[in-house]
Amino acid sequence: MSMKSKLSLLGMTAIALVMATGAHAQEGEPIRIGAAYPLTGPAATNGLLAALGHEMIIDKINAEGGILGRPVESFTRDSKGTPADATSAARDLITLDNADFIVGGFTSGEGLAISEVALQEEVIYIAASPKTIQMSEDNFHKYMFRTAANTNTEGGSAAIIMNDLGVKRICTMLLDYSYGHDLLKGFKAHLEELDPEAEIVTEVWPALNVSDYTPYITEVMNSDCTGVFSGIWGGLFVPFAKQAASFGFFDQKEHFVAAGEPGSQEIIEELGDDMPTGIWANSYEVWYYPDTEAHNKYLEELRQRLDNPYPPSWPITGYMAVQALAAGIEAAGNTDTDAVIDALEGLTYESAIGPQTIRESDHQANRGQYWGQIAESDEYNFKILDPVRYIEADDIMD
Amino acid sequence: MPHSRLLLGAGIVGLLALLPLSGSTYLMYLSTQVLIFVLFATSLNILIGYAGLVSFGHAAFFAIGGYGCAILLRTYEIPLLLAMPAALVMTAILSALIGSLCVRLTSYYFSMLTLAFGQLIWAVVFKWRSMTGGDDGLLRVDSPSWIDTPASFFIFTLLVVTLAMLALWIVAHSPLGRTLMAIRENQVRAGFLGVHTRRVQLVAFTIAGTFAGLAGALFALFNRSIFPDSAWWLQSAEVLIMVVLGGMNSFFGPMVGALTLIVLSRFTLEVTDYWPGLLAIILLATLFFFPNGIAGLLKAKGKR
Repeated sequence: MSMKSKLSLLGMTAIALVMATGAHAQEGEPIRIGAAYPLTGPAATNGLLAALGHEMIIDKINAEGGILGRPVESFTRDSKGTPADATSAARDLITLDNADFIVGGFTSGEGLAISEVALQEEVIYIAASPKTIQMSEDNFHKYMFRTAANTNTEGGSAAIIMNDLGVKRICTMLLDYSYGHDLLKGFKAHLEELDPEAEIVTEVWPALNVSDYTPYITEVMNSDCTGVFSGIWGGLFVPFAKQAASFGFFDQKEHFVAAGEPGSQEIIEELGDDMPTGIWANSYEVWYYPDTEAHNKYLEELRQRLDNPYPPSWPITGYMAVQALAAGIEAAGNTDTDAVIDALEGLTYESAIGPQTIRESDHQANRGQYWGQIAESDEYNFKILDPVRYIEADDIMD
Repeated sequence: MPHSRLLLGAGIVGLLALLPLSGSTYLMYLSTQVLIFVLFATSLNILIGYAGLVSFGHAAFFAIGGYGCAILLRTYEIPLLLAMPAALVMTAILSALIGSLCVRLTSYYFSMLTLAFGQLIWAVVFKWRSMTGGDDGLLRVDSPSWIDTPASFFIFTLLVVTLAMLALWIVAHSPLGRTLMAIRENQVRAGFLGVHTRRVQLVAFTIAGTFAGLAGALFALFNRSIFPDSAWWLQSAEVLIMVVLGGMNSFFGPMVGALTLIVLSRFTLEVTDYWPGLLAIILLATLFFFPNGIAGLLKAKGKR
């Protein structure tokens, strides 16, 4: 091995890197926003859509004159779906791209890892989709804000749906990792408040990424519960629903309340006729609800970008994170980190889905949950959520 | 070690020690990461290159070292200078334990068993929530104040990795290293020559595991957090790729592999999201056209 060539390689790298690192942004110069989303790997399907939402809102802000009259420059890096890569991505955004603020994250692990970097580098981080309460409870710090809902809200809203359905005996099918356990915590806490008589009779805990749900399906079918609360999220719901349907699961269990966004357009279309009619499912966003000006404008942009009349639900996560940040900077009147933190605390901002308020205590936005009952549609060749309910988060965030 | 090489090595370390003068935090982070993976990959190469034992579960020891150090530091509030050696002792004991079972098997069976143990360690980390934080990982793994800036931590890492690499170099070029190669070439013959082959392999396994643990401890401190992904087989695969890419028939090969893989992936991702595809092509090209890796290629060029 030639030492000389290695040395020159190292030297060249060093020079290139030093040159790439510029000075920090001055007044009048662009505001630099860094985004970390999984662009490769298994989480990329969702991450790329979140990054698209991010790009859309940045372009929109710039077209409308920027923030505080300053243009916005955006940098996106790949967090690859793993905490260690999310750490590198966040660090690169701050130290190489000189991002003044960072947004993003997809998995809970990514969110926690990016949040840790934000604390270390003293940079504001807005969590776009990680929901773990670990971020806003045990590991909370002042640089972390969240426009996504937390697991309390998601579990609590499922409890509200379950209670409205009048279910007294409940089975849970949650995935055996922190997201599942956190959901159960939120669900239980609010169910007890709503209906002390309702009880969880059977809990099954499929491992994350199992391919065969049969043992869990049969165990729940052998239980005398009349309603099921599941947290089998996103793409994992697809094989689960197909397997469960073949057992006649959804016919036997009267009520099924599915958290983890299986009610999103992406999953509904993927499942097609196999999407079980009559179950309740949630989603980040629903393109036919609410029919407001802000939401319709957002949808119009998204339809143009994707050339798809029935846009997916994920871009809203990236979109709203930057909307909150921009509102915070506008309110602060400058990009000073402490000033923006002060401005964001208690701030109500106009998002694509209506006004959202970030509370002061744990920097959590009152992001509610869209729930809907899966119904056949005469109009489309896929099923829809009908009715759609937006469950407010204000009373269920803890 | 020949004097010229020793001088060159010292020169590189000396130059690296000047890096903080650049004032670039990015460079500090990148170099620290490369150094940690240089150590991790070199430790694996003691097994692959010298002992001819291909481990698919080397990340297990990386994670044991990382979690061990993080837990002692954070949960038990033991000072770093005690926590790190204690984590290494722990990794050494577990490496010896797991190794004693693995070296009973050879070739594919050895590899499969290391994979199984790797996943077992991952499962323990994932499930033992009260101790490891489960998939929420361990956060706030704070370094003591004397190494809590990116530059001072880089210097600390440089020092530790240099000493560790020196130790590994001595191991590789000691009678133990030669014996390992003899076993790799012909286990039966080495046995007939009176070598207790399993015991020698176990020693190598333990050394490799312990140094991977050291890399893991540095990694937890560097990221200030550690997650179960560190024990996952993909992490084992990544370090294996570094060894193959750099060249397993050279002591310095994995070093080049780690540097190349990390720097290349960073720069490629700036341009395209198709890094995994590119990596696959690079690996195929490496295996078909220069099986001795980048180090082998450079060596051949140097001789020409």
